[in-house]
Amino acid sequence: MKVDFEQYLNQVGEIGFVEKVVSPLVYVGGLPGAKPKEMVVFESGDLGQVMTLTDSMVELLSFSKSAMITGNKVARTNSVLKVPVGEGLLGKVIDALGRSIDSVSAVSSSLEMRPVDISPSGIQSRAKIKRPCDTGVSMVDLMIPLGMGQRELVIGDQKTGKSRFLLRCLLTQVKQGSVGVYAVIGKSKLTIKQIEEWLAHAGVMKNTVLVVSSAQDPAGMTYLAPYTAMTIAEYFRDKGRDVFLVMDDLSVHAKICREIALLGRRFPGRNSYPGDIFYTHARLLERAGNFTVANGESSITCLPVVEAVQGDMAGYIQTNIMSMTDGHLYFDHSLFASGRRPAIEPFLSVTRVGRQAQTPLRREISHTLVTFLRNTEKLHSFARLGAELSDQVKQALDKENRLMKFFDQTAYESVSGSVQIFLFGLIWGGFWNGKPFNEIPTSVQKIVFVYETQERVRKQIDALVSGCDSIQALLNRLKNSDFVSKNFSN
Amino acid sequence: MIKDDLIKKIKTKEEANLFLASIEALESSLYLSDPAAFEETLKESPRTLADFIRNNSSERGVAAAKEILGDLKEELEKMKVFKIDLAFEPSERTIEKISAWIRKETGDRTLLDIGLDRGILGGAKMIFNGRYTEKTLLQMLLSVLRSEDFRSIIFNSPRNEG
Repeated sequence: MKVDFEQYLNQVGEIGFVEKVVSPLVYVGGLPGAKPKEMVVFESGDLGQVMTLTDSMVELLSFSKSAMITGNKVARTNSVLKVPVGEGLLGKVIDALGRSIDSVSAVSSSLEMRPVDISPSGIQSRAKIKRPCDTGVSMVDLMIPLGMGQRELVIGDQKTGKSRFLLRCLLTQVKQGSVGVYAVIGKSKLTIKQIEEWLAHAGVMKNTVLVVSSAQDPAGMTYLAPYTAMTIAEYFRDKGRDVFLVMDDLSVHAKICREIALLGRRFPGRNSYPGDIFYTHARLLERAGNFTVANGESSITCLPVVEAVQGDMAGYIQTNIMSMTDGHLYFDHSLFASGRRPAIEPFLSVTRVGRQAQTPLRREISHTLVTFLRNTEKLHSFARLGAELSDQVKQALDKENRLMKFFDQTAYESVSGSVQIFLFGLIWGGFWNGKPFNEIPTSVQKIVFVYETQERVRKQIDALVSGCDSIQALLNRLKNSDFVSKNFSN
Repeated sequence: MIKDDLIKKIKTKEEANLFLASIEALESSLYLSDPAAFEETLKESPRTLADFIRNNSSERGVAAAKEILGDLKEELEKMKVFKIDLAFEPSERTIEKISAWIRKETGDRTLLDIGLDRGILGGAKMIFNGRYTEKTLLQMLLSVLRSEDFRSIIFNSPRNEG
């Protein structure tokens, strides 16, 4: 997308000349009427954005891959930076300026253009979060549930399965009718390709928009990527559709903000980040939520990712984003190393609004599981002392092991809500007490597969689960069910 | 001759660059061991500049010359530039006329930067203080060629109807 420089030059009638380049920042003399956040066009047709205005010069952020040269001409556009939005973006992999990165499937030029940086909607347009957001990950849905429109931080060390988890959530949500928007911020091109292929293989790419900026892209593009993703999400929200938005990851974005601010000689704050880094991210994440639109409610459920260093959750950016989201899922490196998938540490994870969207049964399961697992955690320390364990303790530890085998999702991507409750019932009710531990994952996998492929089984499981408002009612139903006694009892 | 008179005589950016180069050469020559070096460099400088320096620093020595050169350099660097692109190479007389008009409109501290762009066919493209104006024959022709009236004349002509 090269923009016609001459057209803007004649239209606005203002010109500037590049005087100094501190890539990605460009200092321009002239452009007397330039406004903050205004989009500018370089002689080469590349775009830039006004960052700061001084008495003598205008500081621009360049989005160009090619280096700017002193003396290059710059024209104003009299418009803020805008990106294309619309149904035509679904299935596309685009850069931060809304251009397809694949030359074969270009983005239509007739799409609506929207400003990338807007003020978040006010309180009047917001609605209470009351619909659950299924992630397809049993541990999250049962213990740390999310709601539609929630902002949940995903935090953890490198290589702890965060991206895999996010892709599974996106898959589940897109299958349930949401639009998926995945912003890949400053990752390698290989990672971008892997994400694209995973989504295409899972069959959800046609309802997903991938906004990507690779590590090789100009800093300006990486800076812009989450804003573009949010703008696209807002378009679909305004059309009455729920959006599942992933920002992978904001710690890279914060580093890019720091790089730009330091090059622009702005005063460094804590860890050399700019003083307004909290504002930058809060303003961005505040654009997500559950909203009232013309035909009811639609939501932007946003999962920003932040990388922790050696499990440190108390870093500056980590705590900033933790405080502006409605909870966080903590991915523990040691759990990952011990083979748990997903490696979420449920006791360090928080959900602030997810529980209000749950059914009474799910809420009870969530409460029971958290209490039970917390108690067994204490029993582990007791067992380590080498004391002889009572039958009660042995049973509790056995149940915990079975639950953990059930939560393990190494082999399958998404578990539907009914299957989660059904499987929980089987384990909690002791239906699988005689089953060897190593057979549990295979049995779970079989049930997930059969539920998805056989309508008869799906109907029976759904019928067993629906209408139950307590764990006791669920267990009673399972005990009295011929379907369970024939197929699932030992 | 006073400084303002000298500045008035510098009309184009090209002349200003020549003056700046001479000023730098003179500044360097002040510190050469040969006492005649400054005078020798002065002889190679533009006459107006040489006269100005001789008149203002002859009695006060090196320090005065250095101060005058520094002032002059600063003054020249502060001058605004009016860039104008023409389709032809202007004569001295045309430059004089354009310069007079520009100085009348913008003040004495403006330099003329003349560029040659035959592609504009006629008229001029002007840039001053970040403002850009294009009053060229090319632009006028393009606006006529792109206008609806012209298109209707072309596409509805009897020859096209057959």
